[in-house]
Amino acid sequence: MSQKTDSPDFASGFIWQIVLLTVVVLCFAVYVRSQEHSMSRLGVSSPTTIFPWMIGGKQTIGNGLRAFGGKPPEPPPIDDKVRALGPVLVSMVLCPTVFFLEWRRRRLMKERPFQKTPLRISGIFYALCGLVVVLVAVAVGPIAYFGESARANTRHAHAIQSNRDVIDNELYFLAVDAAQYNILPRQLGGGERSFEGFAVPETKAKTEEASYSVTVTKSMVSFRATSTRYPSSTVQVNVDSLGHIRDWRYEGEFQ
Amino acid sequence: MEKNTVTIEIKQEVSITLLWIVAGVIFVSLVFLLAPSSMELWPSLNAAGIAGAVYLIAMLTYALRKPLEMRVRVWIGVAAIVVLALGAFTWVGMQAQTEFQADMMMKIRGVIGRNVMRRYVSEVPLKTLDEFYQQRGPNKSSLADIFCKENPGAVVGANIHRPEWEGDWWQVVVTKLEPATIELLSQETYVKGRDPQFKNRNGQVGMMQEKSILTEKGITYVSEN
Repeated sequence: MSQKTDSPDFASGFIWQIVLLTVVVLCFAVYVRSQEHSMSRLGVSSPTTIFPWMIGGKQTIGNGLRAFGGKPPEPPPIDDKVRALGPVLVSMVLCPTVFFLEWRRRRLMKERPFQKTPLRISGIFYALCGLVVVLVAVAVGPIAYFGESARANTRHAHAIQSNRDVIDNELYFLAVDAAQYNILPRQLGGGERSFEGFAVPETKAKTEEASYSVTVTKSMVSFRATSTRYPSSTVQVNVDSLGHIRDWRYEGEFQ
Repeated sequence: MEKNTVTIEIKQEVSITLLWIVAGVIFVSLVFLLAPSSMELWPSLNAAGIAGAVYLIAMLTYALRKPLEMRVRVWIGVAAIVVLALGAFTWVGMQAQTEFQADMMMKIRGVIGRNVMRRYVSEVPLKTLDEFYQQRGPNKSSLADIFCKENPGAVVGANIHRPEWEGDWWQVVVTKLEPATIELLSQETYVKGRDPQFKNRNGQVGMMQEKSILTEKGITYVSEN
């Protein structure tokens, strides 16, 4: 009989219980690591997380990527369903139940000061569950704040990029107009191998997305687009006699 | 005697805790599995999240009952409500964000597709026009002759575009090939256009479609859908 483990501070069988718990946790960690390793070799990232919305988000983004490539969406695999349900059960059922019911019992037991509770495996489990509950409760606030901030930034960045894409496209067609002007003979309203006399058509000088101005030399045209939505943001390009667009310059929020 | 009483009480409370856990696991899992099946996980996850919140409220109501002090019950109750509200806010926000990003991917695909289509149906006739007006001498080839020389195999109805990347399914079809007029029609096969009812050339409905018309006076561009 061991003097240490037979003291009143430890419940009987505490040592083998703590060893068993350690072995279970180690096996679980090795299993999770081996799953992640095999997934990464297949080029698939599979998050291990206590927050179930990350698994839901992974499925949505995955289907979005499939649609981008012209493929049909796929239903979530059973692995992902388990990975999504697991954190919900742990963070909303198991850990809060163990923590709060045990907390209540310990709080009410304070009325009986003569009772000294030996350290048990259940105590360690209670502490772990408490750690999970506190972690989730403390983390959810900053996650909400930073998540919302990131969402606002993403939307703003998308709006700017979208505006820039439309302007780039409109500039391309202005370049085509300029190249046509350069090719066509004078009797058809062209410049006959010169850009002199080219002007932005009135219908295209101001659009929903930007206003356009042009600077012309014999062999080159320079366009400048000023965004309507973000007036400090501009795009400038040069078009050569072959109709090729060069020297893209972005200013303001388009940088 | 006192020790035996306490031991029995502890065993009763452990049993009650286990009952709560089993009931919660069964309830949340059933709701998750019985939610309508979908290509997304969100319907099942949201149902499980709501079931989890209902379970938490029920369990906390049980755990915070008398004879705990009112002050403690109020503080923990308020903290639980705040945490649940923030968690729900984050949950909903994350779903909205991922759906927004998935939508953006298709919008970006549409922008890329339309830009590439427009450039292709402009560059090809522009090259033809340039070569047409570079001709000197009395024997000049027609626009159609030059176009066919630059695009071997181009006949009315032919797709002159070669896929350049995986997922590049769009087509550039010659719809008119006359000496002084060439019409090119470009269509996406899986990217939606502006009008979902638009009838595409190849029989599909609602896909992007752009057209350019080349004559000796220049190129006219029409965005059909």
